[in-house]
Amino acid sequence: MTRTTVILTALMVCALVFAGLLAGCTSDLPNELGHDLGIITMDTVLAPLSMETITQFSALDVTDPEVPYGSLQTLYLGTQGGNTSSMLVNFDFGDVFSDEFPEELFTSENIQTVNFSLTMLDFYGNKRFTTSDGDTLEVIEPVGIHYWISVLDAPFDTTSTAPVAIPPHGLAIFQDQEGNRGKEPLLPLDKNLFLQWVASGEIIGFLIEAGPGSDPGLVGYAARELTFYSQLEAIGAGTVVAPDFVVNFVSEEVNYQMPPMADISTFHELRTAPTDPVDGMMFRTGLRSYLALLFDLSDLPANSYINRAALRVMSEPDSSFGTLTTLQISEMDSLDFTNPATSMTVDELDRALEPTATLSSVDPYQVEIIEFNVTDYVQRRINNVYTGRRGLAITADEAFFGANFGVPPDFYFNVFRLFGTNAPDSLLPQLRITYSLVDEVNGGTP
Amino acid sequence: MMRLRWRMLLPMVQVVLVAIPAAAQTPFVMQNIGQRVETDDARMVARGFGMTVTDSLHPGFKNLASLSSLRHVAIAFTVYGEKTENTSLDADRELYRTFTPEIRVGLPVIKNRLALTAGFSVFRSSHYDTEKDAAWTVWDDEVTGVEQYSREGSLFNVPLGVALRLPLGFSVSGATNIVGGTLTEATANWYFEPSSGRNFIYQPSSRKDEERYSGTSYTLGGIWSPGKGRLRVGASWSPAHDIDVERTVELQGVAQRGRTEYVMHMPEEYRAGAQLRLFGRWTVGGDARYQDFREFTGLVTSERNWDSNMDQEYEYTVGLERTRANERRRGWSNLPLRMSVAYRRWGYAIGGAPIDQRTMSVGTGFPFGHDLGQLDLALSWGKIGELAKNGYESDVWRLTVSVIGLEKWW
Repeated sequence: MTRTTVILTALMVCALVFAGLLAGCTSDLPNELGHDLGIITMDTVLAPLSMETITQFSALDVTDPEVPYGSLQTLYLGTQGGNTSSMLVNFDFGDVFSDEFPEELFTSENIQTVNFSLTMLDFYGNKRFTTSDGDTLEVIEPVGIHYWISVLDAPFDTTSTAPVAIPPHGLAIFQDQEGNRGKEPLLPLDKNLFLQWVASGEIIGFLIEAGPGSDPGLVGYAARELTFYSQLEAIGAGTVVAPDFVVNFVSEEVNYQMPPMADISTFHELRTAPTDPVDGMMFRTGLRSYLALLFDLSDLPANSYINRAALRVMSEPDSSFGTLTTLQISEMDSLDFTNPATSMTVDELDRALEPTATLSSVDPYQVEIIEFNVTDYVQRRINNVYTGRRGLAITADEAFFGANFGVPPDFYFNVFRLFGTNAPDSLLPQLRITYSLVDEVNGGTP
Repeated sequence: MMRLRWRMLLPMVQVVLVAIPAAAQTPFVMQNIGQRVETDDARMVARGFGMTVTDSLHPGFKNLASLSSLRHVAIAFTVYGEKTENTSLDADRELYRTFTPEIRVGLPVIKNRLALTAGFSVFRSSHYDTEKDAAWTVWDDEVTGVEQYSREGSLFNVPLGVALRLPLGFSVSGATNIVGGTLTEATANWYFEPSSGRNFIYQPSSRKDEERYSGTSYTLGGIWSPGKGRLRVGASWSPAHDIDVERTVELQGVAQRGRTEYVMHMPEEYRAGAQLRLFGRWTVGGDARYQDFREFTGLVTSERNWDSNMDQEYEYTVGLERTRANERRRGWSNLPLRMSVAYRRWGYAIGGAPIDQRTMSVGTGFPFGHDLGQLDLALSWGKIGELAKNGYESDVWRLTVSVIGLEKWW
């Protein structure tokens, strides 16, 4: 055996011993052994703190110049939560005849029926089953409406950019005495009246109201601008979903449908958003009304670590209504909203917001506690990340957030009434903060 | 031949690099200034003495005066693999780790008379982590999760020294040690429940404390080898010194950090050793070390009230060596044999009682060609602490491997 062989053998033995001792050996995972010998500790862990002082509040009145009031895709009828709306519809009777439907066809003898047609949004026409108290099923029937139709003294002003008062009008030419729960109500009219309008060749405005005896409830219908047909029950091709006249001829297999030249919801009674949180708060889509608020964090120990921070607002289910709604919480510079109210466009809102968290499918009929995770927001305030002071804004899921592929926030008229700062303790809006603290962190400079 | 030597080292180095289990020590390093790291090479570990080395072909770095006998450039490093079986009244834990505590270089300026040395040597180390189930109550939530704790860091020396042979069998050395290092302590609470899908409702909170050490110490050493060197004695002394500490306390997610500076006063350290050649190839010897950590001062906070736990740190080792032979056809019997026992009292108490460590070691070594280097092995078993006294107890198995290479660079 040469000396080199001896050395090599020794090295191999050494390597094998090492391999045997170490390779393939796995240390046990950490356990409690030695835990009580640890020196450092968190001085405060998961400490709860409720912040309830709102130092700045603003009701945000938001409009979209690209979708003016008269161009909304939906029309609303009825009364709910202090809001009442009727529909105004203008028809151009000077533009009736065509090669398919010539003038000579429009005689009393040729016309079998004339109906006024509406198309209800699918959401409002269905029985809805919602749970309350855990497993009790509550059935919400479609609203029964006694439709009334009147002729306006003059066509309504189509340039309106906001809710309008009900214009002067004559007596109702149609009164639905029985109530109608149908999704596509066909309201029969006197064909001779219709022929008079056709003969006049004028633009004539109509008022559609929910007459006496109608169930309470605000119901949405397709407007002439509707593009989200997914919000309707399946309809036939070529069907006019906007308010229209449907003329059924004796001899023709095809009905004549007369679309409106303009339509609008009146919202002549519109509950305004509280401008003082003492009076409560309101979030609304359709006619956007959002809210922004700034909490006083001075009671929070400096340099806390925020394990969780939640903005908790309590909803009033009895006075809230609408479809399932996506709520967005965002940071908003306190300079961008002022007491008591701020008017801004959607573009201005886009520039003002930094989205923080989203709550999807919030049911206004069910939800009582609306809680947003604003942990990062509070941590950023603690860390003095911003030069200014930022508050929080609750908005709908606007398109500029980039996540909304459904209907825009101006489609459904959804309202959440929220308890204000005058409410009982358990219902107060509050920032519920859970924090941890290490005292020694305060002993130096950042 | 030089090329062959390094090629032979590769398998071992590869094993060391590949086999890197979770680096962890014993729970005893969770407190105070951490565990003293054994920087002795495998030969010293196995035979129990190293303060009196004067072998020019197998130099030692424990007492830098040993280097006065250098004739070649010497490069030495030590690695060890360690298995610890840790026990407390409530739990057990088995850990493996590898560690490289020391790399040293010696340069003869005047052969067998004057040498310079430099290197890197870890002398204090802490590495341990724990995890324990925990529960909290906040708002209306019963929160469950774990508390984690980890401690990791080391204090190291960069010794720059000179060794000189004097008449009458005396050798002396002096070294300036640049002291550095860090220690990170972290604790984290994870709140697993309640959760929302895959997201925790409560974000975990964690704290990290980091200390950065810098300072300078000095070491004076000497060896006296009268007559033909049958008896040799050696000693070294490192005076008390201060280490500047920058301390940062960080709470994860919080921009503000606590920053403080303080001075850690390290007590002086004495080492001594002796060896006596008995008969034939047999030599007996021992080393001792003493450092009174009752004189240690550092940061005192509500969490680090260490003073009452500080103790005298000392150790004794005694051992026997059958030195290497070069007789033809003697095969394995030419190999050196080494054995030793050691006792160490740690510099601080745990559980109100001092920590005692007892170790037994055996080992051997293999010379490289033309005696230009050596590979040494030592296998040790030790016991740290006592369950009844300290609340913890650790059995330690350690394989120490040292390599020293010699080369004539000039």
